[in-house]
Amino acid sequence: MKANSLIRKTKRKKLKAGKETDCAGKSISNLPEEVLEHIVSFLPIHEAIRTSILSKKWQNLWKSTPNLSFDGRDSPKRKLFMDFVERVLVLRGPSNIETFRLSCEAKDDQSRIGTWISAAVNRNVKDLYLVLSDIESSFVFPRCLFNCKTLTEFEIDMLFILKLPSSISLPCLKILSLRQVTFIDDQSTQQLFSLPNLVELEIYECNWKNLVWVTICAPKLQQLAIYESLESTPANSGGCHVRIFRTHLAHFSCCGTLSNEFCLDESSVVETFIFLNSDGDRRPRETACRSYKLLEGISSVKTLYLTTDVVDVLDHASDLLAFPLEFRNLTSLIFESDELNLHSAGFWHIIYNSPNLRSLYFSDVTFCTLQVSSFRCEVPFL
Amino acid sequence: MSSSAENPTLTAEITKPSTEIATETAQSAKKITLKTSDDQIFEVEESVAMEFATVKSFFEDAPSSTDTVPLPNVPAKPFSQVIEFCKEQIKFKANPDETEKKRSNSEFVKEKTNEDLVEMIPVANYLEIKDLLDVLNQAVADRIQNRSVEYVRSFFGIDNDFTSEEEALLREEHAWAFEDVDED
Repeated sequence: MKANSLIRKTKRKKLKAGKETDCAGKSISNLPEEVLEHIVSFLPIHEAIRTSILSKKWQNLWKSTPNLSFDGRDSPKRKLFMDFVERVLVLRGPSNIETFRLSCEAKDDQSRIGTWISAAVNRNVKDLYLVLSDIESSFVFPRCLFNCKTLTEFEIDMLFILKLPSSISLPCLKILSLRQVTFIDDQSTQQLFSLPNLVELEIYECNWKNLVWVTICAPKLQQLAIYESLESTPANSGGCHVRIFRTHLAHFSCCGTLSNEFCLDESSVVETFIFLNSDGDRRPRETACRSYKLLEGISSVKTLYLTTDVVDVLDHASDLLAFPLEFRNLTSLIFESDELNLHSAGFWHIIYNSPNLRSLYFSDVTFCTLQVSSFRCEVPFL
Repeated sequence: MSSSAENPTLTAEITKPSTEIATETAQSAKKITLKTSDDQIFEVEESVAMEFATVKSFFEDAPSSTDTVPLPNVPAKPFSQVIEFCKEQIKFKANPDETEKKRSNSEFVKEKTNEDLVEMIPVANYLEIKDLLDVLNQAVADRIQNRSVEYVRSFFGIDNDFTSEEEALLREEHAWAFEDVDED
């Protein structure tokens, strides 16, 4: 009797037993629109539009596809591509956009691109990816983008000056990835880096030259990766002082020449990569201080990956090593790249002050100026 | 369960070695009896049957029911494949491993014919198995990519209800979307 309710619920789509294959063919056409829309949503937008001529039932399904991805980087007919994007956005109607991905040359279509971004924001976009080249210096993101209530993932790869409004409110933003942008001022940049729900922050090859003091204070941040651009900061500038404050990271990567200063303050981290390249460093003393400061801030680390330059450079400020750098939780230390100088005071300083170190790996490291006496150093726990 | 004597009984373990059946019986895993639209009887472990949201809600309404659950929209052939999928899924519930799950899912669809996939979609939809529906819909979308309109129609068994004039008009209207796309 209870079974009847199940039957009743589904009576209208009851299949006739017997000719199975025939049934199956019919049954897909009998599926509710949501299921067909779901299938269409897995297709690239070109293909989704093509389904509109399958049958009357399929005619408008593509219009609710929530994932829009447009890649016009290799398109020989740029104008055709831009018109295509425009038409999709006009014709698709009012349904929500979940993912909007645009890769193209901006050239003289900047205002058009701005309108498309606004359209995505108005349709409650969650994931926004922009890879734009040939951008004029006047390009500004529409203001609504930085007040988008739904934006969860935002990735841009754009060689341009990122002008930000004075007030930013992105309550859902979890993943932020910035590539090649030039930051314009401390205050707005700091707001962007300290959003309340940010979990992942990646800053690749960005230009910090306009910044002096920036605090990254995002309470939910778990992954932070900063890759300095090799030519971003002129050698005579002191760079930007970046303070990572009250943040508890699972993973922290810092790669580059330390032309900016990074330090963790009242923060903790589990796994850290520090890839320093100090070749041709004209201010070794300053780099040494920055390297020391960086190591000092990550004292809670469990697994630490270093390039040998990180410890070698410390020899340029051996006075600092009088102050203990202690790594109480460090269990794995991994050295990568180049040559390791076993006479380096910095290297032994870390080894001696890591009482729980269990494993020490050298990957692709050449030991230079190795003398037998070096081996006599006692490392009781190894 | 007199009905199972009249109908061929397909248990979910049909392909499994008998030792496994023995251990399952030892743990006295509760079985649920389900009857497909073509009157085949399936005895399915409770944990597997609870993957079917439709069946689950049926038992929420009647927790002690021992009745055979009729599945009027579900033919046996796709249903046995759906059970195969759900048995795999359960392993990942106890032991979550996203990479292994993805691998197992793609393995599952890889072995299936176009017909298998298309037949399973209404079953997954009717039984409300969201994970399976995601996997199937992605798989059919992958299989119809870069295919001609005619191919896709026969893939899904869609009757073209446009008149030839209507279709020609639509193709013209959508010409902008067909630029740079190779018809096969």
